Amino acid sequence: MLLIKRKALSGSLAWLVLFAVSPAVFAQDAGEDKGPPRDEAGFIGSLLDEYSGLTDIAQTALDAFKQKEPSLKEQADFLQARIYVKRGRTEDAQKIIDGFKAGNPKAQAVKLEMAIYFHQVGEAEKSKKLFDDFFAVYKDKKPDDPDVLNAYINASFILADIRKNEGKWGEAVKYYKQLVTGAKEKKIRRIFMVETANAYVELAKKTDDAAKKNEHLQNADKYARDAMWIYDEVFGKAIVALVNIELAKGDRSKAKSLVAEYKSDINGIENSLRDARVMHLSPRAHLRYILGEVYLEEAKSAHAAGDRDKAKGSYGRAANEFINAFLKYEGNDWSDRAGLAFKELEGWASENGYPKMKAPDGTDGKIARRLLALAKKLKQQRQFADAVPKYLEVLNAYPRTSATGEALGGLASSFAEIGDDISALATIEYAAERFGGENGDESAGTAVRSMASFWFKKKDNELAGRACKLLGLNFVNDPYSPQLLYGAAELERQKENNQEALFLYENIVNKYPGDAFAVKASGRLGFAAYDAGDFESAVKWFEKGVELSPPGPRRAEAKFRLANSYIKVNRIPNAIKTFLSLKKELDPNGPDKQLYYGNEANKEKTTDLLVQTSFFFGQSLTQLPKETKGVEKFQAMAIKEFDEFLKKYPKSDYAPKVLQKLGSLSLQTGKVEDAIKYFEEIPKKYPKFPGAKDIIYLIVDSAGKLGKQDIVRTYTEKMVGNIKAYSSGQLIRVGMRLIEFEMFDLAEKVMRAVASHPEAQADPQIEQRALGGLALSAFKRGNHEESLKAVDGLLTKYPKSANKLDMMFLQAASYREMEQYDKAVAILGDVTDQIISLTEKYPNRQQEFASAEVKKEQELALTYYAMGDVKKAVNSTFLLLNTRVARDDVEKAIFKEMCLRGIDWSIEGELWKPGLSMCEIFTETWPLDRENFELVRQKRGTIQNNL
Amino acid sequence: MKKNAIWIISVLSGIIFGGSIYAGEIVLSNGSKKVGKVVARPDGTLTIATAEGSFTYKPGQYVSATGDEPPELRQGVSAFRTGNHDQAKQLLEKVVRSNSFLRWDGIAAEWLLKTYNAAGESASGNRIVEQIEKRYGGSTYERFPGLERAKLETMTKTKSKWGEVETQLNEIINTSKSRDRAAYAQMTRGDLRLEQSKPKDAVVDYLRTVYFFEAQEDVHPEAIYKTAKAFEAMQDTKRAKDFYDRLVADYPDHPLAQQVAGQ
Repeated sequence: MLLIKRKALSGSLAWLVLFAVSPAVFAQDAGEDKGPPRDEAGFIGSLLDEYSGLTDIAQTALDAFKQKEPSLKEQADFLQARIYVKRGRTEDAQKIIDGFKAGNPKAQAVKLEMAIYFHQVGEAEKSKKLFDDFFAVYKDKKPDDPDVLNAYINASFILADIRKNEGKWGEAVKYYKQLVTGAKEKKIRRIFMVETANAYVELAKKTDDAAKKNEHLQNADKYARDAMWIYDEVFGKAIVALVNIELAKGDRSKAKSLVAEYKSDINGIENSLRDARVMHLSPRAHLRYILGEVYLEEAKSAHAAGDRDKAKGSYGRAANEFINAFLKYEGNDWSDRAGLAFKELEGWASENGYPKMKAPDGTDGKIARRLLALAKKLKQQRQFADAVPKYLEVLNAYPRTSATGEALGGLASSFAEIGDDISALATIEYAAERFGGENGDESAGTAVRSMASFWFKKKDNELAGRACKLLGLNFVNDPYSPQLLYGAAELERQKENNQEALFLYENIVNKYPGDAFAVKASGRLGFAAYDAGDFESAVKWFEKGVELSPPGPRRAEAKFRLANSYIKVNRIPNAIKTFLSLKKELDPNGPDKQLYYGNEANKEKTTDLLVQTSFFFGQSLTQLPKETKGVEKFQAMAIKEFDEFLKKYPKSDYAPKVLQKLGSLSLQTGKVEDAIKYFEEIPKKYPKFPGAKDIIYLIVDSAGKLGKQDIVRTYTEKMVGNIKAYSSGQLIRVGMRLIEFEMFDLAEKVMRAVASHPEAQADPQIEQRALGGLALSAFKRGNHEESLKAVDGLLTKYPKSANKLDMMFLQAASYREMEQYDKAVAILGDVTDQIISLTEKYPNRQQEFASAEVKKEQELALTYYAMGDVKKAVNSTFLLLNTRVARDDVEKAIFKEMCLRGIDWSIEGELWKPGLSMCEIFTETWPLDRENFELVRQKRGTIQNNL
Repeated sequence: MKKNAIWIISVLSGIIFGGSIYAGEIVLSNGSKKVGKVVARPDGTLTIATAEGSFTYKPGQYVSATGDEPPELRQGVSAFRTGNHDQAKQLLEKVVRSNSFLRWDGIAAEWLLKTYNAAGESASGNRIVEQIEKRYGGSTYERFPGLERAKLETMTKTKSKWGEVETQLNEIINTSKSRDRAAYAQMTRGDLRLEQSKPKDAVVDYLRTVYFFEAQEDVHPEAIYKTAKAFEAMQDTKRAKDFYDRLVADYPDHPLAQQVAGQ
């Protein structure tokens, strides 16, 4: 129980401090001469008094004592019983004292120690009985035995305190009086005199009988004045008691005049305490508080009487007392109470229309911090459920002070500790939204971050993710914000909540532009946009990523994608520049060689990237528009670049493509013979390259890609004019290329030639492809009847053709173009039957048939729309979007196109509900298509307004 | 003589400006007050006839102005409460029309908006809101939090306005210095979450209002009630009961508490 050793207690102030802590002070003080054998026992006793946790050491010392002093068995038993009590082994202690002779005072002392123990562990009944038994024995006299006297004084103090807290003032008076007579030190006796006076005052307040009341107050007065021997802090406390006596009598005026009367004494005491740097012990804090209350009462009375001026004056004086008590005596109980009283006073003034009193800056924060201290203490003691209302009290009384962030942190973690996660979440959301922002409260940010950490440890990723988002989106100055926000984004990405993930990455880049995680985030955004085919956005994010990141493999990869994105958005000069810069950066002999080729893992990857970069750099040089100034120079550069490429990477997969490119470049510059030379090299050097053996095909292919239709036409005519020199396969390949180049007249010519080719007659595959190609070319030329004829020819001869579905689609499209809608719809109906039959027959071709279903729905919708049945067109589109899944890029493109058409058709046909659904499908599926996204958002608004 | 002069000025002002005349006061930008009969022009210019003479103030020269409470306001509110929407509309429209810039117009607009919503005439409600916003500009909702609340509640119940109302609510929650506005914005966002079938998010907003806005007694009991309701919707009957109990204990006289106690 005793925390400070006896020597440290010599100063009077230390006594006073200790007084509040330990009743065992009196045990020490009341000790008498114990003689030599008792020194050892005294040491063990003091161990038990001062360090109740050191019972092991006490036990060791006692064991030694028992061996050394076997004759002092009773003393040893007494100490053993005490050790047992300290350890909670009260039954063992009881056995020992049962062995003492009847009336042995040491048995009483142990019993009393047991009473104290039971009181501490909350066994009130057992405690009370033992106390009562003890004091029954010493009702009229003090114990003689020094050990028992110790226990007697300790017990009196504890009981006085218990009764005081219970409001049983009569009992409290009794025990305080025992302390006054029991304590040896004069100053301690004076302290208890004041306590006795205070207890009498409280007793008087509870007493209705006027005579009795007066008697209690007279006793209080006597005890208080008896304590006023010396001008010290006890003297001051006695004055407080005297003031309280007057207030208990209802004489506010006398109370105030007493304060005035003793003002110089109080000032003197306070100056001494200030010099000793213990201002918080000043009795003036209490006096100021009392005066504050007196003035507040006066203010209320005046207000009730309608005298607002007087009320205002008293209110001002009350505020002054409270605020001074609060600000000047930190650490004093009355100071904290004054802070609260000031707050309440402000509330009263505001309710009644009195002006707000100006308190020094930061007063609210200080009051809040004091209140917060209690909540924090409870939390530290892990009394989380009790801490919650205390935190809420602070936060409601002082919603925005320097202590708010800390209070919110304590509250959130207390909620979480008691398993109330939803309240913890509500707390940190409040912290983030109300206290975040650019100049946000850092401690509120810390509160949010602590909860993220708490939930991470609990492996609750959802809540942890939410906390990370709150931190990262609201507290830009928190050093962990970008990292945690990135973590939250990654969690969303893993859960495939791509839209949310992209939103978070975008925030990281925008809010934390200089941070390493912003680099990572821009990379994520860039790759996501690139994969989604949104190259404008990809350019934006990769540019940012490249700008922010340091050189290294990640930046190189981003740069490569950036250059490719430039190509996709037709910013060829930027692509050229970027490829060139990357090529230099990846130079195996360049300044960054260690960075890229330093370790084996990177080396292979970097080499591969360099090969690709070199190829695409060369290619980008050829992609400048013809009208570009100096385009020839770029073409020459490309040739040089490609020549170098072939020297450096002859075994690369890109090498045959480079030859093809060189052939194309030669064609482009009119050097047909050079081109042929390059093309001829392909089958020689790279026989496995597709089309390697087919020079005409390569020329047609290259010229077609260059848009040199004259060359295509010349070589195709040459081919058709000498048909026997070519295989039907070669002809078909060229024919298919011509369809791709949209040279349908020539394609039709080639396909017709193939269809009549002797090889084709003997090869059903070739014949079918030829007829199919013919049908398609004719359709594209608008020659629908010819197309239908070719389809008919194909399906009559080959009713089980593998291309049957495609041919049926062509038929349907032809009928639609010829405005024979019924036939078109009927054929699409047959398509359905065909799909069902084929699906049953070829279960492993499910995907192919699913694609046909998609196509069929698309065709059907287009047909319905063409025939003017908007409702059916919308229904078909809606069915397509809701019952099919796009499996590849082609289907994705169909879905997107049909979704956009469907929205327009819905508006046209005023079919609002499916229209709204399709808008939602679009915004969820193609969030990165910014242009259409915005259009759809506007259309959605139109639809919603009509719903 | 002076009295007569004032009377003449007042009457003339009423005729000339087409506004009605009420006893009232104008608080000027320098903090001083003018007491007398106030007449407002549509552009916000106020003329006050005082014992010292007549004074005219343009917007910017005064902080606020008010007149006597028009009796039609209480009558209109009462008509709304008893479901007599036509009468409420008539009375409240009159208050809005004849009390421009005199505070009562904003208060009447709140009830008028509620009336139009109840009558299913949202377009008329929007017109009134726009009219008041035009009159008071950026300070409209600091002056008339009730109107803002009615407007936000209306938007919350209109699916097409969800995006817009969410942005407005977030703005108020994040930046408003007025705790009253922040409290109801928070609770209204909870309502929005419920409308959007997100009860867990709703309860977080309600809880925040309950925990941190005890002093906002216009909102607090309702927030407790809604928290209980939301927990009930989440099948958390224990928590629902705790909050119902709290409502009854803390606000025994509140109609919602009486409703709960009655169940």
